[in-house]
Amino acid sequence: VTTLSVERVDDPRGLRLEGELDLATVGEVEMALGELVQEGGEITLDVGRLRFMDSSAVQLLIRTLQGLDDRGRIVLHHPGHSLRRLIGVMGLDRIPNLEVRE
Amino acid sequence: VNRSSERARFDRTFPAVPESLFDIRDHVRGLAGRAGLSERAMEDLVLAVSEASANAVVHSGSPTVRIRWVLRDDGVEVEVADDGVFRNRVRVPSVEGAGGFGIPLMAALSDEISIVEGTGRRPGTTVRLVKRNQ
Repeated sequence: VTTLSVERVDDPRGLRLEGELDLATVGEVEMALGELVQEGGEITLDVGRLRFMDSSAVQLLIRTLQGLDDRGRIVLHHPGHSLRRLIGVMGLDRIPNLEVRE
Repeated sequence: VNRSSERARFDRTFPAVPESLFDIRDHVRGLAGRAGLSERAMEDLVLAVSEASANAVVHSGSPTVRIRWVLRDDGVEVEVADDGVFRNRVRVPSVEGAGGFGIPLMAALSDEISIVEGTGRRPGTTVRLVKRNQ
């Protein structure tokens, strides 16, 4: 069963995620992010069609943002209720090089 | 714990592997829909149960994780239980997940949370989450 699909997008540069992102599927995103992180710059994660995300994905985001440091930033685009809740509770919106965009 | 308001309970056991998390959420969504929880309450509960289950999968060494669904007069209660018989469980922090986010996250998403750590005689950890009807 495919529970997560990851698509590389050029404009805006980043990934489009669809489905459910958890401990079992977070590795796919980590792999897809690797090259983008190496290049640096702004990375847009379109999460509008992501139905679910758990704390393992938040941990990946935090690690990635730390790795990027001042070389780049991440834009979380179109988060739904469930994701906004997770972002708020875990304080992701306080990380300087992360932008949450409606 | 006041169990006098319990109306029904339903247990289901899943293999303690990461791939079960999707099935566990699916299971909880189905039950929550029938219990009449609001969409937002359901999403909170699904995330909390998924986090508790992830902890059981990663940390317990248990072969299975049991999801107990309890329908109460004032809402629902979900117990996530493992029986980590292969590893010595010591303290509550072992439930916190790799980044230590688990407990604060589950607490923020639930109206009530309790965690019972197993003992040598009665191994396994049970996380109990309550979501009340608004």
